[in-house]
Amino acid sequence: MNLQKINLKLFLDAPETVPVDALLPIFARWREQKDHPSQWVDMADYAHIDRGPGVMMIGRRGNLALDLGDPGPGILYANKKDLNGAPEDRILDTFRRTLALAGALIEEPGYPVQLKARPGFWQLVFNDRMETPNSDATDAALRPGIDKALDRIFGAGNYTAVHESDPLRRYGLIVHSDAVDDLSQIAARLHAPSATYPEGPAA
Amino acid sequence: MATTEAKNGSTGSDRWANLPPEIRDEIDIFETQLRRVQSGQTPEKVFTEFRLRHGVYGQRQDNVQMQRIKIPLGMLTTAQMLCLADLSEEISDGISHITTRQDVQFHFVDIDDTPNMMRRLAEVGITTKEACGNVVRNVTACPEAGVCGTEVFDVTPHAQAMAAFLLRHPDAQNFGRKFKVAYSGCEERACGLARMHDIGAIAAVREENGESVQGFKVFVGGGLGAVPHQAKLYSDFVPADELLPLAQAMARVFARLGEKDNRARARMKFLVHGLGLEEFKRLVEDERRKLPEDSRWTSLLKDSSKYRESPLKPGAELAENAEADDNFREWAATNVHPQAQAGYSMVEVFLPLGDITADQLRDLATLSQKYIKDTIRTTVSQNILLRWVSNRDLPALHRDLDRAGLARTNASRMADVTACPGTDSCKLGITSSRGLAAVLDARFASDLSETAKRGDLKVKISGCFNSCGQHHIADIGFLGSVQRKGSFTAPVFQVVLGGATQGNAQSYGLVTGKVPARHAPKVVDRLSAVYSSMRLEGETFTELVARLGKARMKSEIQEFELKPHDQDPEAYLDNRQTWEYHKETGVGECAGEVVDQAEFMLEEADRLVFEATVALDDRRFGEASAGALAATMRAADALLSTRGLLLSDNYDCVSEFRQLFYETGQFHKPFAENFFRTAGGNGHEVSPDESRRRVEEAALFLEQAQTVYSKA
Repeated sequence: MNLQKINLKLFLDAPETVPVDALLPIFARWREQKDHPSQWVDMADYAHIDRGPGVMMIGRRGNLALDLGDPGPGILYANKKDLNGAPEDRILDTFRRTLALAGALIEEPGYPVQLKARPGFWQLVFNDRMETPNSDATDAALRPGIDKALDRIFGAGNYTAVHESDPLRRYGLIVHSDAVDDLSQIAARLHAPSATYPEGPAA
Repeated sequence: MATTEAKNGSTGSDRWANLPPEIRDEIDIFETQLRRVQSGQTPEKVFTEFRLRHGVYGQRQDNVQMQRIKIPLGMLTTAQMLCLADLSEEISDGISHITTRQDVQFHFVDIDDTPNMMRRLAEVGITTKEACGNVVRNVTACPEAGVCGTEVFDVTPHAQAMAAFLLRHPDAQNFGRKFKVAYSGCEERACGLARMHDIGAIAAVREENGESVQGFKVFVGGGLGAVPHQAKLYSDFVPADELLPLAQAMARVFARLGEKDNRARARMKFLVHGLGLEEFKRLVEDERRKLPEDSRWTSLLKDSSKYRESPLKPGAELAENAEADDNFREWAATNVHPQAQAGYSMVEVFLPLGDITADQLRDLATLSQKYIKDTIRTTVSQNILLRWVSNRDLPALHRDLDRAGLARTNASRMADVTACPGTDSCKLGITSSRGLAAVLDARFASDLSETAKRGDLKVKISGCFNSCGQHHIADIGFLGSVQRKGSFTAPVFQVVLGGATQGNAQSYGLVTGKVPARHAPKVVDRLSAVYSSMRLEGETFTELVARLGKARMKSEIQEFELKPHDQDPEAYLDNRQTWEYHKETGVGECAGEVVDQAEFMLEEADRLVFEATVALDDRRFGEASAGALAATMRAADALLSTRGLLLSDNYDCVSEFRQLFYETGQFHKPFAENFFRTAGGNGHEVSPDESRRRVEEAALFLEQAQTVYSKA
């Protein structure tokens, strides 16, 4: 199973009208970063769709969006390539990339203060139906890796991960944990040395 | 079978065994050519036109593609909607964009994702073949066909037959530019826009021997673009079973005589204009007489009757208390249209800027199965039309659409703005047409909410002169441009007034002024107010513009014109952009690369030789020999095409080649003799040595053919 397309959404507390336009000047600046690891291509503006992708940065390695889609608003990172290792390593790398980008976005001076990250609420989606159809077989194959990754981030037994049951939708899980209340806690656990990264993964 | 790398991903080599072999091969060849250009084995120019002919279009941004997906007549089944929804989120940005020609487009696609995307689309009966490039584009038709109260007859089977007939047709592969066909069920209404197409067919009937005969009023040589042309009436009546051969004859004339060098004048409208309608007709009729009989002219029409739709539920009247719900009443007033069949309605789903998310498209597929059985249609207004909705179901459907975020009111009203991609993704875009559309969308939902409901004004926006937003046929059209004052450059829109979609796009507007892009919403507001206050009873906006005159209309918008930067700095920014405007345009691919058909065939021969060598290496000697002969034949066809022979003429390749190239001494004789010997072979099993020799001979033949072609 060659997992490359993994989406991760960090849910946000947000007002009913999400101020997506605030991200336009931020992303307009970001797209000029030609040597960014995400290999930015451009931004895309879908703010006119009520529960759509909001405002996005399109990158060759991954997209980043202030996403307004169901089940709720969040910072969505959609990885496209450059993941290696076992499934848990790829999931952890996706968490690292998401956290790095979400952190950078939240620290931007123009980032709306009303949009509060919910570090214990995530959506993990495997965005490739040919590799990972939404089936029991995929769940059986991927669960061990997912559990290893989530154990490391939230601590074993400190979270729930509910499988998306609608077969028309992609294989994915809603993850909830009360064990973290700050993104920096997750970042610290992700960047601690591990079997895969004995000296800690690259930022 | 073409050789491909990674065509099956990790899902097994028989993953695509369910596809028809010819479709599987076509996509395999696309993937092979993609790998060849990526490894420098195929010229970029030839590949560009090749990928365009598979709908893969270069975006403004480097190394990402727009994928256009052909949806004939805009007809989508639920299985197709689900497939598009899945693909949009897996390989694009989660959005399916409906175009003004009823296609679907994905943006920001990695070209490496396209072969499997094409295979997945093929599984649900969709092809991207000939969605872009210098070929026959998507055949469009009135989305109300079959259920419309004013149509002469249902054009659906006829338009489907035309789409199937011209797709991959050998006579439609050697154009200087694209070629567009549209059908309309009646003359008066706007839905088909038949009069702005290369061929526009409007349903008509004629009495013959006491019987009513179906046919079409045919227009030719229409088109928008930088130099718009109203289509000319070719014939008052062409019998329905004569339209396919007529289109084929027109295609042959266009391929033979259409401009190839100057792409700006290569559309058929210039050919018709240059020759004059009468001479064009004479040439087409002459070509028609020479056409070899083709059984598909009639068989396709019979096959296409399968596209006739039937309802899921019995027709029934709306419950009496349904209108008590304000939201429902408001929505029904603008988005529900009565059908010709009693008890049924059409429901128009208003998609802002033509965009629909993957979740919404999936929801729509589910709702289609629940309420209307299966098929929906995309519209030229970039919306989606559900047909055969039992009136009794309308309130429930409204609630379900609302839950999916698809119950916006004011479909096809003033709020329903048409816009091309503009600077968001198009290389030719000068201004942000989608930015203006998004700003108007927001204002129509707030301070211009009353204006939004108008049914008598339409706004259309193009980001450049190529008119993809169809600004010429809007009451209020905007055409993107730039204007410089001092050392500052502003994005501006030329204001085009007086066009009309009515009567199948019967009139084109004219430029009446120029305003900064940022002020365009104020212009819309002002012109709407002028129309309200000054219109005479029953007067259309087009008629008002004609009555008042351009100078008067210009004076109405003069106050919004560009002022020096120090007086109005905001006017130098584009819509939904807070950063400085820079004009950046590239070379567009709308026109495609003009690649001679012979060049395509030589490239195909090259690929076949390459595949024969691979077969040889794999010790598949029979396959290698067959491939070598196929390559040689294709190279010979390439040279014969330079002498005016068309594949559809079913000529004898060996005999024609002998006469035109061998006997005249224009081809190295030993190589030609190898060809004749191999082609005349008895099909017996070949030895490994013989197989190797044939592959080498094919390579030599191809090299000589390329030399001869380069001197032609």
